[in-house]
Amino acid sequence: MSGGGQVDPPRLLDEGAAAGELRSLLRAGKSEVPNAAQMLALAAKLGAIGGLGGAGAGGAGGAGGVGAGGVGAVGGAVKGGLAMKVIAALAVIGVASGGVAIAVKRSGGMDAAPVGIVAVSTASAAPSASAASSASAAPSARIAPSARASAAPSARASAGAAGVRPVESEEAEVKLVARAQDALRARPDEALALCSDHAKRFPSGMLVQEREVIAIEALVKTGRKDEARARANRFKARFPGSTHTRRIETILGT
Amino acid sequence: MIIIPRVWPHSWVVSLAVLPSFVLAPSRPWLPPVQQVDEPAPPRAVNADRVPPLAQIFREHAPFVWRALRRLGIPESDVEDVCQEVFVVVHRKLGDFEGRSSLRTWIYGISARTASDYRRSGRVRREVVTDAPPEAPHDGGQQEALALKQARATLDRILDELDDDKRSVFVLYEIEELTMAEVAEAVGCPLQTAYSRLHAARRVVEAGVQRAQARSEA
Repeated sequence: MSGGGQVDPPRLLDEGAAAGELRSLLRAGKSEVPNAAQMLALAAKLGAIGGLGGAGAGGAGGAGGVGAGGVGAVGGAVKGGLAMKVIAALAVIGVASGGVAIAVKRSGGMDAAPVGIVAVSTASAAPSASAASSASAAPSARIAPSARASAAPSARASAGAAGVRPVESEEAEVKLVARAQDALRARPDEALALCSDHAKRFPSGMLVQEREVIAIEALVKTGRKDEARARANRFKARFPGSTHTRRIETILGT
Repeated sequence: MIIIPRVWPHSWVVSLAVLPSFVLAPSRPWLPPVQQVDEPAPPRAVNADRVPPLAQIFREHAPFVWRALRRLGIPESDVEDVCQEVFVVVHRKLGDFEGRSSLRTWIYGISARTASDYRRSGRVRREVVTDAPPEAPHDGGQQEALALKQARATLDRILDELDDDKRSVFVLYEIEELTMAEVAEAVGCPLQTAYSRLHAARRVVEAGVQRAQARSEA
Protein backbone atom coordinates (compact mmCIF):
# COMPACT_ATOMS: atom_id res chain seq x y z
CA MET A 1 0.00 0.00 0.00
CA SER A 2 1.95 2.93 -1.23
CA GLY A 3 0.27 5.73 -3.02
CA GLY A 4 1.55 7.93 -5.74
CA GLY A 5 2.80 5.03 -7.81
CA GLN A 6 5.88 4.84 -5.65
CA VAL A 7 6.77 1.48 -4.20
CA ASP A 8 7.87 1.28 -0.61
CA PRO A 9 11.59 0.62 -0.50
CA PRO A 10 12.77 -2.65 1.03
CA ARG A 11 12.99 -2.29 4.78
CA LEU A 12 16.44 -2.24 6.29
CA LEU A 13 15.43 -5.27 8.33
CA ASP A 14 14.82 -7.24 5.16
CA GLU A 15 17.45 -9.69 4.07
CA GLY A 16 20.24 -7.96 2.17
CA ALA A 17 18.76 -4.48 2.44
CA ALA A 18 21.29 -3.16 4.91
CA ALA A 19 24.67 -3.92 6.37
CA GLY A 20 24.67 -6.73 8.92
CA GLU A 21 25.54 -4.46 11.81
CA LEU A 22 22.66 -2.10 11.11
CA ARG A 23 20.25 -4.99 10.76
CA SER A 24 21.29 -6.52 14.02
CA LEU A 25 20.84 -3.18 15.79
CA LEU A 26 17.37 -2.83 14.26
CA ARG A 27 16.49 -6.38 15.23
CA ALA A 28 17.55 -5.64 18.80
CA GLY A 29 15.43 -2.51 18.70
CA LYS A 30 12.48 -4.39 17.36
CA SER A 31 12.68 -7.13 19.95
CA GLU A 32 12.03 -4.82 22.88
CA VAL A 33 8.48 -5.32 24.02
CA PRO A 34 7.36 -5.11 27.61
CA ASN A 35 7.50 -8.29 29.61
CA ALA A 36 4.56 -9.65 31.55
CA ALA A 37 5.45 -7.74 34.69
CA GLN A 38 5.80 -4.46 32.79
CA MET A 39 2.49 -4.98 31.02
CA LEU A 40 0.87 -5.75 34.33
CA ALA A 41 2.33 -2.63 35.87
CA LEU A 42 1.19 -0.50 32.97
CA ALA A 43 -2.27 -2.00 32.99
CA ALA A 44 -2.53 -1.44 36.71
CA LYS A 45 -1.41 2.12 36.23
CA LEU A 46 -4.11 2.64 33.67
CA GLY A 47 -6.64 0.91 35.81
CA ALA A 48 -7.18 -1.31 32.82
CA ILE A 49 -7.23 -4.42 34.85
CA GLY A 50 -9.27 -3.26 37.69
CA GLY A 51 -9.16 -1.39 40.90
CA LEU A 52 -6.65 -2.64 43.37
CA GLY A 53 -8.32 -1.33 46.44
CA GLY A 54 -7.05 -3.09 49.49
CA ALA A 55 -4.23 -4.84 47.69
CA GLY A 56 -1.56 -4.94 50.29
CA ALA A 57 -3.60 -2.73 52.53
CA GLY A 58 -4.57 -5.17 55.17
CA GLY A 59 -7.51 -4.10 57.21
CA ALA A 60 -8.84 -1.78 54.57
CA GLY A 61 -11.69 -4.17 54.23
CA GLY A 62 -14.51 -3.99 51.83
CA ALA A 63 -12.34 -3.01 48.95
CA GLY A 64 -14.35 -3.32 45.87
CA GLY A 65 -14.39 -2.10 42.39
CA VAL A 66 -16.50 0.09 40.29
CA GLY A 67 -15.42 -1.50 37.12
CA ALA A 68 -16.30 0.89 34.43
CA GLY A 69 -17.91 -1.34 31.90
CA GLY A 70 -18.00 1.50 29.51
CA VAL A 71 -18.30 5.17 29.87
CA GLY A 72 -21.98 4.74 29.31
CA ALA A 73 -22.38 2.93 32.58
CA VAL A 74 -20.36 5.31 34.65
CA GLY A 75 -21.50 8.32 32.74
CA GLY A 76 -25.03 7.24 33.45
CA ALA A 77 -24.29 7.04 37.11
CA VAL A 78 -22.76 10.46 37.03
CA LYS A 79 -25.63 11.97 35.16
CA GLY A 80 -28.05 10.25 37.47
CA GLY A 81 -26.48 12.27 40.19
CA LEU A 82 -26.78 9.64 42.87
CA ALA A 83 -23.15 8.75 42.80
CA MET A 84 -22.02 12.10 41.56
CA LYS A 85 -20.39 13.29 44.72
CA VAL A 86 -18.61 10.08 45.36
CA ILE A 87 -17.30 9.87 41.86
CA ALA A 88 -16.37 13.51 41.70
CA ALA A 89 -14.56 13.15 44.99
CA LEU A 90 -12.79 10.12 43.62
CA ALA A 91 -11.74 12.03 40.58
CA VAL A 92 -10.41 14.93 42.57
CA ILE A 93 -8.63 12.69 45.00
CA GLY A 94 -7.28 10.74 42.10
CA VAL A 95 -5.69 13.84 40.71
CA ALA A 96 -4.54 15.30 43.95
CA SER A 97 -2.64 12.20 44.83
CA GLY A 98 -1.29 11.47 41.43
CA GLY A 99 -3.83 9.06 40.14
CA VAL A 100 -5.04 7.17 43.16
CA ALA A 101 -8.20 5.36 42.38
CA ILE A 102 -9.08 4.50 45.88
CA ALA A 103 -11.09 6.65 48.11
CA VAL A 104 -13.27 6.15 51.07
CA LYS A 105 -16.85 7.01 50.54
CA ARG A 106 -19.01 8.55 53.16
CA SER A 107 -22.69 8.23 53.25
CA GLY A 108 -24.73 11.27 53.92
CA GLY A 109 -21.96 13.68 54.60
CA MET A 110 -22.34 14.01 58.31
CA ASP A 111 -21.55 10.41 58.94
CA ALA A 112 -17.83 10.30 59.33
CA ALA A 113 -17.49 6.56 59.29
CA PRO A 114 -16.01 5.22 56.14
CA VAL A 115 -18.50 2.92 54.57
CA GLY A 116 -16.61 1.44 51.77
CA ILE A 117 -13.86 1.80 49.36
CA VAL A 118 -14.49 2.38 45.77
CA ALA A 119 -11.90 1.41 43.32
CA VAL A 120 -12.28 2.46 39.77
CA SER A 121 -11.20 0.63 36.74
CA THR A 122 -11.27 1.32 33.06
CA ALA A 123 -11.12 -2.26 31.98
CA SER A 124 -13.26 -1.36 29.08
CA ALA A 125 -13.73 2.31 29.37
CA ALA A 126 -14.14 2.86 25.71
CA PRO A 127 -16.70 5.52 25.13
CA SER A 128 -19.01 3.19 23.38
CA ALA A 129 -21.77 0.99 24.56
CA SER A 130 -20.16 -1.98 22.90
CA ALA A 131 -17.38 -1.73 25.41
CA ALA A 132 -19.52 -3.29 28.04
CA SER A 133 -19.81 -6.47 26.09
CA SER A 134 -16.10 -7.18 26.03
CA ALA A 135 -15.18 -10.56 27.38
CA SER A 136 -12.51 -8.95 29.46
CA ALA A 137 -14.60 -6.04 30.46
CA ALA A 138 -15.13 -5.30 34.04
CA PRO A 139 -18.66 -5.49 35.18
CA SER A 140 -20.37 -2.23 34.60
CA ALA A 141 -20.48 -1.08 38.11
CA ARG A 142 -19.73 -2.70 41.34
CA ILE A 143 -19.41 -1.80 44.93
CA ALA A 144 -17.98 -3.80 47.74
CA PRO A 145 -20.47 -5.69 49.87
CA SER A 146 -19.64 -3.57 52.86
CA ALA A 147 -20.33 -0.51 50.83
CA ARG A 148 -23.52 -1.98 49.57
CA ALA A 149 -24.66 -2.66 53.09
CA SER A 150 -24.02 0.76 54.47
CA ALA A 151 -23.94 3.13 51.56
CA ALA A 152 -27.05 2.17 49.81
CA PRO A 153 -27.68 5.29 47.74
CA SER A 154 -24.27 5.32 46.16
CA ALA A 155 -24.18 1.60 45.81
CA ARG A 156 -27.52 1.58 44.08
CA ALA A 157 -26.35 4.23 41.74
CA SER A 158 -23.25 2.37 40.83
CA ALA A 159 -24.45 -1.18 40.78
CA GLY A 160 -26.26 -0.96 37.54
CA ALA A 161 -25.12 -4.01 35.68
CA ALA A 162 -26.41 -7.50 35.83
CA GLY A 163 -24.20 -10.55 35.65
CA VAL A 164 -21.60 -9.06 37.88
CA ARG A 165 -18.60 -11.15 38.74
CA PRO A 166 -17.59 -11.49 42.35
CA VAL A 167 -16.63 -8.16 43.76
CA GLU A 168 -13.03 -8.92 44.44
CA SER A 169 -12.37 -10.72 41.19
CA GLU A 170 -10.10 -8.37 39.32
CA GLU A 171 -8.33 -7.21 42.37
CA ALA A 172 -7.84 -10.79 43.47
CA GLU A 173 -6.67 -11.80 40.03
CA VAL A 174 -4.03 -9.11 39.87
CA LYS A 175 -2.87 -9.94 43.36
CA LEU A 176 -2.67 -13.61 42.60
CA VAL A 177 -0.65 -13.17 39.41
CA ALA A 178 1.55 -10.65 41.16
CA ARG A 179 2.24 -13.15 43.93
CA ALA A 180 3.08 -15.80 41.38
CA GLN A 181 5.45 -13.41 39.63
CA ASP A 182 7.08 -12.53 42.93
CA ALA A 183 7.51 -16.16 43.87
CA LEU A 184 8.98 -17.12 40.52
CA ARG A 185 12.59 -16.25 41.14
CA ALA A 186 13.13 -17.90 44.48
CA ARG A 187 10.16 -20.26 44.90
CA PRO A 188 9.11 -21.63 41.52
CA ASP A 189 7.07 -24.42 43.12
CA GLU A 190 4.98 -21.86 44.90
CA ALA A 191 4.66 -19.82 41.71
CA LEU A 192 3.37 -22.91 39.95
CA ALA A 193 0.83 -23.59 42.65
CA LEU A 194 -0.37 -20.01 42.45
CA CYS A 195 -0.69 -20.36 38.68
CA SER A 196 -2.84 -23.47 39.14
CA ASP A 197 -4.92 -21.56 41.60
CA HIS A 198 -5.32 -18.77 39.08
CA ALA A 199 -6.30 -21.22 36.33
CA LYS A 200 -9.07 -22.58 38.53
CA ARG A 201 -10.38 -19.29 39.77
CA PHE A 202 -9.96 -17.20 36.65
CA PRO A 203 -10.22 -19.53 33.67
CA SER A 204 -10.92 -16.59 31.40
CA GLY A 205 -9.25 -13.85 33.39
CA MET A 206 -7.48 -10.88 31.94
CA LEU A 207 -4.09 -12.21 32.88
CA VAL A 208 -4.32 -15.70 31.49
CA GLN A 209 -1.41 -15.15 29.12
CA GLU A 210 0.76 -13.63 31.82
CA ARG A 211 -0.07 -16.51 34.13
CA GLU A 212 0.92 -19.04 31.47
CA VAL A 213 4.26 -17.34 30.91
CA ILE A 214 4.92 -17.47 34.64
CA ALA A 215 3.88 -21.12 34.80
CA ILE A 216 6.11 -22.09 31.89
CA GLU A 217 9.07 -20.36 33.48
CA ALA A 218 8.30 -21.99 36.81
CA LEU A 219 8.26 -25.42 35.15
CA VAL A 220 11.65 -24.74 33.60
CA LYS A 221 13.02 -23.60 36.93
CA THR A 222 11.80 -26.75 38.65
CA GLY A 223 13.47 -28.90 36.00
CA ARG A 224 10.26 -29.97 34.25
CA LYS A 225 11.32 -28.81 30.85
CA ASP A 226 9.19 -31.28 28.89
CA GLU A 227 6.09 -30.11 30.66
CA ALA A 228 7.16 -26.54 30.06
CA ARG A 229 7.53 -27.23 26.37
CA ALA A 230 4.13 -28.93 26.16
CA ARG A 231 2.54 -26.03 27.99
CA ALA A 232 4.29 -23.59 25.68
CA ASN A 233 2.90 -25.42 22.68
CA ARG A 234 -0.58 -25.20 24.10
CA PHE A 235 -0.01 -21.51 24.72
CA LYS A 236 1.04 -20.92 21.12
CA ALA A 237 -1.97 -22.82 19.84
CA ARG A 238 -4.31 -20.88 22.07
CA PHE A 239 -2.75 -17.44 21.59
CA PRO A 240 -1.20 -17.36 18.13
CA GLY A 241 0.74 -14.18 17.57
CA SER A 242 0.91 -13.36 21.26
CA THR A 243 3.52 -10.83 22.22
CA HIS A 244 4.68 -13.26 24.88
CA THR A 245 5.73 -15.91 22.39
CA ARG A 246 9.26 -14.63 22.05
CA ARG A 247 9.63 -14.46 25.78
CA ILE A 248 8.48 -18.05 26.08
CA GLU A 249 11.02 -19.11 23.52
CA THR A 250 13.71 -17.35 25.49
CA ILE A 251 12.57 -19.11 28.64
CA LEU A 252 12.75 -22.46 26.90
CA GLY A 253 16.12 -21.58 25.46
CA THR A 254 14.97 -22.21 21.93
CA MET B 1 -10.09 9.46 55.24
CA ILE B 2 -8.25 8.26 52.23
CA ILE B 3 -6.82 4.85 52.04
CA ILE B 4 -3.83 4.62 49.83
CA PRO B 5 -3.02 1.01 49.24
CA ARG B 6 0.31 -0.25 48.17
CA VAL B 7 -0.28 -1.65 44.75
CA TRP B 8 2.04 -4.10 43.19
CA PRO B 9 4.29 -3.48 41.47
CA HIS B 10 3.73 0.19 41.06
CA SER B 11 2.02 2.57 43.28
CA TRP B 12 -1.10 3.98 41.79
CA VAL B 13 -4.07 3.09 39.75
CA VAL B 14 -5.47 5.82 37.61
CA SER B 15 -9.18 6.09 37.54
CA LEU B 16 -9.75 7.07 33.98
CA ALA B 17 -13.32 6.13 33.61
CA VAL B 18 -14.87 8.54 35.99
CA LEU B 19 -12.52 11.44 35.71
CA PRO B 20 -14.04 14.54 34.19
CA SER B 21 -12.41 15.62 30.98
CA PHE B 22 -10.26 18.29 32.52
CA VAL B 23 -8.84 15.65 34.78
CA LEU B 24 -8.23 13.34 31.90
CA ALA B 25 -5.85 15.78 30.28
CA PRO B 26 -2.68 13.75 30.37
CA SER B 27 -0.24 14.71 33.02
CA ARG B 28 2.84 16.14 31.43
CA PRO B 29 5.11 16.95 34.30
CA TRP B 30 7.82 17.93 31.87
CA LEU B 31 5.74 20.52 30.05
CA PRO B 32 4.56 23.89 31.19
CA PRO B 33 0.85 23.61 31.89
CA VAL B 34 -0.19 26.07 29.22
CA GLN B 35 1.39 24.20 26.36
CA GLN B 36 -1.10 22.76 23.98
CA VAL B 37 -0.56 19.34 22.61
CA ASP B 38 -0.69 18.60 18.95
CA GLU B 39 -2.93 15.65 18.64
CA PRO B 40 -4.17 14.01 15.50
CA ALA B 41 -7.07 15.78 13.93
CA PRO B 42 -10.15 14.03 15.19
CA PRO B 43 -11.79 11.94 12.53
CA ARG B 44 -15.09 13.26 11.33
CA ALA B 45 -17.63 10.96 12.83
CA VAL B 46 -18.06 8.46 15.54
CA ASN B 47 -18.19 4.86 14.54
CA ALA B 48 -18.62 2.90 17.68
CA ASP B 49 -19.11 -0.38 15.84
CA ARG B 50 -15.57 -0.33 14.58
CA VAL B 51 -13.98 0.64 17.85
CA PRO B 52 -13.06 -2.25 20.09
CA PRO B 53 -13.16 -1.88 23.86
CA LEU B 54 -10.25 -0.05 25.41
CA ALA B 55 -9.08 -3.14 27.26
CA GLN B 56 -8.74 -4.99 23.98
CA ILE B 57 -6.99 -2.05 22.34
CA PHE B 58 -4.64 -1.91 25.25
CA ARG B 59 -3.79 -5.58 25.09
CA GLU B 60 -3.26 -5.57 21.36
CA HIS B 61 -1.38 -2.33 20.98
CA ALA B 62 0.39 -1.54 24.25
CA PRO B 63 3.43 -3.74 23.53
CA PHE B 64 4.00 -1.99 20.23
CA VAL B 65 3.35 1.46 21.61
CA TRP B 66 5.90 0.69 24.28
CA ARG B 67 8.48 -0.43 21.75
CA ALA B 68 7.84 2.51 19.42
CA LEU B 69 8.18 4.95 22.31
CA ARG B 70 11.51 3.44 23.30
CA ARG B 71 12.86 3.83 19.77
CA LEU B 72 11.36 7.31 19.56
CA GLY B 73 13.66 8.31 22.38
CA ILE B 74 11.74 7.66 25.57
CA PRO B 75 14.18 6.31 28.16
CA GLU B 76 13.36 3.09 29.90
CA SER B 77 12.79 4.94 33.14
CA ASP B 78 9.97 6.98 31.63
CA VAL B 79 8.44 4.68 29.08
CA GLU B 80 5.74 3.41 31.40
CA ASP B 81 4.57 6.95 32.16
CA VAL B 82 4.62 8.04 28.54
CA CYS B 83 2.88 4.86 27.44
CA GLN B 84 0.22 5.56 30.01
CA GLU B 85 -0.15 9.01 28.58
CA VAL B 86 -0.62 7.65 25.07
CA PHE B 87 -3.48 5.45 26.26
CA VAL B 88 -5.06 8.30 28.16
CA VAL B 89 -5.15 10.20 24.88
CA VAL B 90 -6.42 7.14 23.04
CA HIS B 91 -9.17 6.80 25.61
CA ARG B 92 -10.12 10.44 25.32
CA LYS B 93 -10.20 10.50 21.57
CA LEU B 94 -11.52 7.05 20.84
CA GLY B 95 -15.07 8.26 20.53
CA ASP B 96 -14.03 10.41 17.59
CA PHE B 97 -12.18 7.69 15.78
CA GLU B 98 -13.97 6.86 12.58
CA GLY B 99 -11.58 4.48 10.96
CA ARG B 100 -10.25 6.59 8.13
CA SER B 101 -6.87 5.19 8.99
CA SER B 102 -6.45 1.91 10.79
CA LEU B 103 -6.64 2.04 14.55
CA ARG B 104 -3.03 0.94 14.62
CA THR B 105 -1.92 3.86 12.44
CA TRP B 106 -3.96 6.26 14.53
CA ILE B 107 -2.42 5.02 17.78
CA TYR B 108 1.08 5.20 16.31
CA GLY B 109 0.35 8.80 15.36
CA ILE B 110 -0.57 9.61 18.95
CA SER B 111 2.53 7.78 20.14
CA ALA B 112 4.81 9.71 17.79
CA ARG B 113 3.37 13.05 18.87
CA THR B 114 3.55 12.19 22.54
CA ALA B 115 7.17 11.10 22.17
CA SER B 116 7.95 14.22 20.23
CA ASP B 117 6.45 16.41 22.96
CA TYR B 118 8.52 14.56 25.49
CA ARG B 119 11.70 15.05 23.51
CA ARG B 120 11.01 18.70 22.90
CA SER B 121 10.49 19.23 26.59
CA GLY B 122 14.22 18.69 27.00
CA ARG B 123 13.72 16.47 29.97
CA VAL B 124 17.06 15.10 30.96
CA ARG B 125 17.61 11.66 29.66
CA ARG B 126 18.62 9.26 32.31
CA GLU B 127 20.84 6.55 30.96
CA VAL B 128 19.91 3.16 32.22
CA VAL B 129 22.19 1.15 30.01
CA THR B 130 24.11 -0.34 32.87
CA ASP B 131 21.04 -1.48 34.75
CA ALA B 132 20.39 -5.14 35.08
CA PRO B 133 18.06 -6.52 32.43
CA PRO B 134 14.49 -5.99 33.57
CA GLU B 135 13.74 -9.65 33.71
CA ALA B 136 16.84 -11.76 33.28
CA PRO B 137 15.37 -14.90 31.75
CA HIS B 138 17.68 -17.39 33.34
CA ASP B 139 21.38 -17.55 33.93
CA GLY B 140 22.22 -18.61 30.41
CA GLY B 141 20.15 -15.81 28.98
CA GLN B 142 21.79 -12.99 30.85
CA GLN B 143 24.59 -12.52 28.38
CA GLU B 144 22.13 -12.36 25.54
CA ALA B 145 19.95 -9.91 27.45
CA LEU B 146 22.90 -7.68 28.13
CA ALA B 147 24.03 -7.78 24.50
CA LEU B 148 20.51 -6.87 23.38
CA LYS B 149 20.41 -4.02 25.79
CA GLN B 150 23.72 -2.67 24.56
CA ALA B 151 22.63 -2.98 20.94
CA ARG B 152 19.45 -1.05 21.71
CA ALA B 153 21.43 1.65 23.47
CA THR B 154 23.71 1.97 20.44
CA LEU B 155 20.72 2.15 18.12
CA ASP B 156 19.02 4.77 20.27
CA ARG B 157 22.15 6.91 20.38
CA ILE B 158 22.21 6.86 16.59
CA LEU B 159 18.48 7.63 16.37
CA ASP B 160 19.03 10.53 18.78
CA GLU B 161 20.85 12.27 15.93
CA LEU B 162 17.62 12.47 13.93
CA ASP B 163 15.14 15.27 14.32
CA ASP B 164 11.65 14.32 15.46
CA ASP B 165 10.14 14.23 11.98
CA LYS B 166 12.76 11.95 10.51
CA ARG B 167 12.93 9.78 13.57
CA SER B 168 9.19 9.14 13.56
CA VAL B 169 9.19 8.16 9.90
CA PHE B 170 12.24 5.95 10.31
CA VAL B 171 10.95 4.15 13.40
CA LEU B 172 7.43 3.64 12.09
CA TYR B 173 8.67 2.28 8.78
CA GLU B 174 11.80 0.35 9.69
CA ILE B 175 10.87 -0.98 13.12
CA GLU B 176 7.09 -0.92 13.33
CA GLU B 177 6.76 -1.87 9.68
CA LEU B 178 3.92 0.39 8.72
CA THR B 179 3.60 1.03 5.01
CA MET B 180 4.83 4.41 3.85
CA ALA B 181 1.24 5.49 3.23
CA GLU B 182 0.42 4.61 6.83
CA VAL B 183 3.54 6.37 8.06
CA ALA B 184 2.52 9.53 6.22
CA GLU B 185 -0.97 9.26 7.71
CA ALA B 186 0.37 8.69 11.21
CA VAL B 187 2.81 11.60 11.18
CA GLY B 188 0.46 13.81 9.21
CA CYS B 189 2.61 14.68 6.22
CA PRO B 190 2.30 14.14 2.46
CA LEU B 191 3.52 10.77 1.26
CA GLN B 192 6.31 12.32 -0.76
CA THR B 193 7.56 14.16 2.31
CA ALA B 194 7.56 10.91 4.24
CA TYR B 195 9.74 9.31 1.55
CA SER B 196 12.18 12.21 1.69
CA ARG B 197 12.38 11.98 5.45
CA LEU B 198 12.96 8.25 5.29
CA HIS B 199 15.81 8.59 2.83
CA ALA B 200 17.39 11.40 4.82
CA ALA B 201 17.01 9.41 8.04
CA ARG B 202 18.61 6.36 6.48
CA ARG B 203 21.67 8.35 5.48
CA VAL B 204 22.07 9.65 9.03
CA VAL B 205 21.55 6.21 10.56
CA GLU B 206 23.93 4.47 8.20
CA ALA B 207 26.62 7.05 8.94
CA GLY B 208 25.96 6.60 12.64
CA VAL B 209 26.36 2.86 12.42
CA GLN B 210 29.66 3.28 10.62
CA ARG B 211 30.89 5.64 13.30
CA ALA B 212 29.79 3.27 16.04
CA GLN B 213 31.62 0.44 14.31
CA ALA B 214 34.76 2.51 13.92
CA ARG B 215 34.63 3.37 17.61
CA SER B 216 34.22 -0.22 18.67
CA GLU B 217 37.09 -1.31 16.44
CA ALA B 218 39.39 1.45 17.62
